[in-house]
Amino acid sequence: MGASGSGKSTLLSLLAGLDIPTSGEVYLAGKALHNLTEDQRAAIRASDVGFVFQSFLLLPGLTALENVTLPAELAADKQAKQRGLALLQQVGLAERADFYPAQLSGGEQQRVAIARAFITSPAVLFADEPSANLDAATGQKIEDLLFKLNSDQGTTLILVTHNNDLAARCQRQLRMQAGRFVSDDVKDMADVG
Amino acid sequence: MWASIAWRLFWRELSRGELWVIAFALFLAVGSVVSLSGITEGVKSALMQRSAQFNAADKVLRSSQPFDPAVIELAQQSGLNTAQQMQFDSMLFAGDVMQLATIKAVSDSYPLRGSLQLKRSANPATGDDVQPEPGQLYFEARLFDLLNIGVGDTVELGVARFIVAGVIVNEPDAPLSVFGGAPRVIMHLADVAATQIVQPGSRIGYRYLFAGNNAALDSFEQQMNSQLTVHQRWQDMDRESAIGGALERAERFLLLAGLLGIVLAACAAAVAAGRYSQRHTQAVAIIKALGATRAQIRLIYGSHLLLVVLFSLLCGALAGQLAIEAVHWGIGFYFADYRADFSWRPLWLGCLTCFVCALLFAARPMWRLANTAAIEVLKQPAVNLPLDKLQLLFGSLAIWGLMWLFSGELVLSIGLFLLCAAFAGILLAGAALLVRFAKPVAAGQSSARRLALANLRRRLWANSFQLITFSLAIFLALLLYFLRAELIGQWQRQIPPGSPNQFLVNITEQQRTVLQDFAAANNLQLGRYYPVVRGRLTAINDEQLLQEATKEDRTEQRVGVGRELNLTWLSELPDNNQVTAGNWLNTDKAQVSVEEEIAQRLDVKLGDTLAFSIGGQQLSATVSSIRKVDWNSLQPNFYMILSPDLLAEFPATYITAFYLEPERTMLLNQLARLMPTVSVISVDNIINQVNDIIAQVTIALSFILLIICLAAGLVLVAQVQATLEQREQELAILRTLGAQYPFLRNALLLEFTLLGAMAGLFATILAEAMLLIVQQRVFELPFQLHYNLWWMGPVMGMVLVTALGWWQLRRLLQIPGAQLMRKVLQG
Repeated sequence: MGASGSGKSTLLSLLAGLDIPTSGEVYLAGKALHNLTEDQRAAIRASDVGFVFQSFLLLPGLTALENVTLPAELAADKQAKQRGLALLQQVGLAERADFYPAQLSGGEQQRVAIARAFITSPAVLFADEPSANLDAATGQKIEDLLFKLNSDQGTTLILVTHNNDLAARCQRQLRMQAGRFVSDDVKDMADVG
Repeated sequence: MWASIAWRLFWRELSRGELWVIAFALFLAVGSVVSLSGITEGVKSALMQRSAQFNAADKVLRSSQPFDPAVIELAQQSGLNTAQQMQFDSMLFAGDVMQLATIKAVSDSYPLRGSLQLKRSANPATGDDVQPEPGQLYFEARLFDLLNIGVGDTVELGVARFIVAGVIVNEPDAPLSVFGGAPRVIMHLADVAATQIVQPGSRIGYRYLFAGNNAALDSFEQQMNSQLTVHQRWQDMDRESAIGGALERAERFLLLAGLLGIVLAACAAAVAAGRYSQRHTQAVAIIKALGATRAQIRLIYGSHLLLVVLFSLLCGALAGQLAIEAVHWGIGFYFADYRADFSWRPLWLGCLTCFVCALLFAARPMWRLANTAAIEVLKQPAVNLPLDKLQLLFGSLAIWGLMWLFSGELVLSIGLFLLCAAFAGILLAGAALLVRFAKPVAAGQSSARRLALANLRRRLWANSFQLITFSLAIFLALLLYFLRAELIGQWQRQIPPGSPNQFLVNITEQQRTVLQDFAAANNLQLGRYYPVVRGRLTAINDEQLLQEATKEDRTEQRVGVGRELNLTWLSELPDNNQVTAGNWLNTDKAQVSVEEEIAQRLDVKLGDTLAFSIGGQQLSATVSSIRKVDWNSLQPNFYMILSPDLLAEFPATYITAFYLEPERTMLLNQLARLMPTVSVISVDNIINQVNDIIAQVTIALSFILLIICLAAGLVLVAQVQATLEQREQELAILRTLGAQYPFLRNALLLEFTLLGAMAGLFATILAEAMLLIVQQRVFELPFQLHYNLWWMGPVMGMVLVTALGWWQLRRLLQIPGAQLMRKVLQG
């Protein structure tokens, strides 16, 4: 958590291997990201990492199903289509599998993005302000969906948010200010909703 | 798996503009290269075939030594047809009468091209067609009168006797020269030995004639070149008429136009590919964030380019080939015996151009796309990518490389490339100046005008490339339009309607009066009389020309000198002649003016003394001038013009010419009956041939102008498309701030009108400068300003740019503000 410009997204990009630090070390799933080439980090993202972005970031040229299956197809998963359809079913968009992003509402687009994030069964899922671009009710539904799938698939979810309520649902809260951690609260699993 | 992603994205991308712009640009490049090189080859081949008909063969090897069976064997092994002929001057005796004649002895297969027409009669208009047979001679019509004999009579040639079997109606490789020369005789090659004329030291011209397909001819020529002896040389096939010059200019022009078309198409492809890449930066970042490697990205987007390239290549090659076929058909329409040869060269050139354009202009931005950092996914997409200096370098080198490849002329390609680069530099400076100037002007204008000027300034400053390409496109279209007009005009001036088409040769002093009466009675306008005295050049500066046969032989063209030169005397410099050194014959006596090519070959300089032998009398003259002669003009031309004091006393014959309408050709028969010793030489064929070429090339030129205009339009479309997203954003903001439709429309129209006017003005200035250079350097035309250009350029710029800009952006203006905003926000 943290205010705008506190360094949340930068940290997320470093953790996910989207970028490398100018100094320091980053380990993800036991691998030293800072020592890897861009393509080696891409391979780790393909196998171990999922993303949900604030502005959904679906490819406008692909249908909902094609967007969902994209990471699996990049990893040459022959079951991509079946898995994609199953995930769309889980996020409640099975009937809209052939719709293009422009034909979907904001909430629907984010649900497609969530389905896409889970298709490779990642070890870690990074979510950058997943509900910030949505109205409160839709945002709430998206958050519920994210946590449910996370729990179903046993993924580690790393969320970036400035929403206290959303942060409260997480097991551990790290607060950032001017690029540094200022607090670290760990909750019991029982407290996490 | 990447293939299915690539394929799906490709189909969705087709509905957006850039891939089509790239495809169309490459299509234009391929189509224009294929069609232009094919058309040039076709027209050239048609002319070569025509000139082959005038040479009786596709290739002629001349020799001063007897036939070498090895040469004939090599030609036959190469798959060529062969024929031989010998030519020499000799006396014919018919009883007590004798006459010098030019004898041509031909083998059975002569002629390989064109047709030899002989008739069993003394009159070309009557009698049956016959073939030359051993033991027989065929005479040029006037020889019957000169020897006072008829068909069936016997004449002596050397030590043999022959029957005169008929008259020569058409000899394909007869001299077209308006001077004629000695009367001509055709005999069979097998009879030459019997005459015993061929003795050591005899002046005999041996010619090997070859015909076959181009590949076989080329390969044979290459093999022969390595073993040519000093006595053998290839005959120049196409210098003798106005056609050579007309075609050479047409070829240069087509070449120039082709280069410009390629440059424009390459620009359009580069702009569209740049925008395509820019628009896909975020998509690539997303795909990379989801785990794609650079190689996968390159495969996905590379396959898009490959599909576009293949599609364009196929369509371009097909369209180009169709254009070539159409031109072949057109040529066949004018020229019945035309053999259209299929050539791979245009297709090969088209392929190469397409791949070079695609690789160096379009592939580079797409290659860079894969370097997009995954972190970009968390950032706002950049509106303008920074200028890729390497792309600029590669692109420039590629343009130059293509120019070189296509023209095969290093100097022309470097010159044209440097000019384009200099123009771009000038335009950049001009744009900068205008942008500065526009700021104070904008103050105090209405708000729509202020917005237009502000937009213009900002975008010009940010992207002067746009103004450069607009200007370049308009410049090239203007240049081509004016050069085309220039070229056609020049050709038409060269042979104006009513030019003399009939030449009369060997007119005696007495016949001039008869001819004058005949002309008056038939309402013919006779041209100037040129006196002709035949003489031999015997010495230069007291150096006897012992090897005169060799030297003369080298200059011997069908329009050129034989063993005797045609000498004339004139007090005034003829039209189409230009003194390049010294002064035209002045009042001093005993002078000669020499044509520059023969002067060069004989190593004659100003002040040299030339000695001539005329009818056994000697005379000498000092070289007072060297002349350049326009051999393309259908006028009597002379290698040597002497001062009147030298020749006036010698008995001369005269040459004159007149124009005869095609429907009155019967008059020529009357003339032949009236003055049998006068030869009539008709150049109607040549004039018709040149007119045909002008008609064909004019069509080709209009076609090229169309290609250039399309390419220019494409550049404009690509450029406007490239600013589409930025414009969407701005419009969304302006709409949100309450701007009304008329306001936005006026601002947009004004912006494009001003931009078009600016580009048009730049283009006009550059086109005028370039026209003046090209006019003088390439086409050798006089310096002349083009007044029409000065209004056409800016008007064309305004209309074209405004229309294309409006056509692409009008839909954007009609989108409601809220919808536009949503579109912009969603990216």
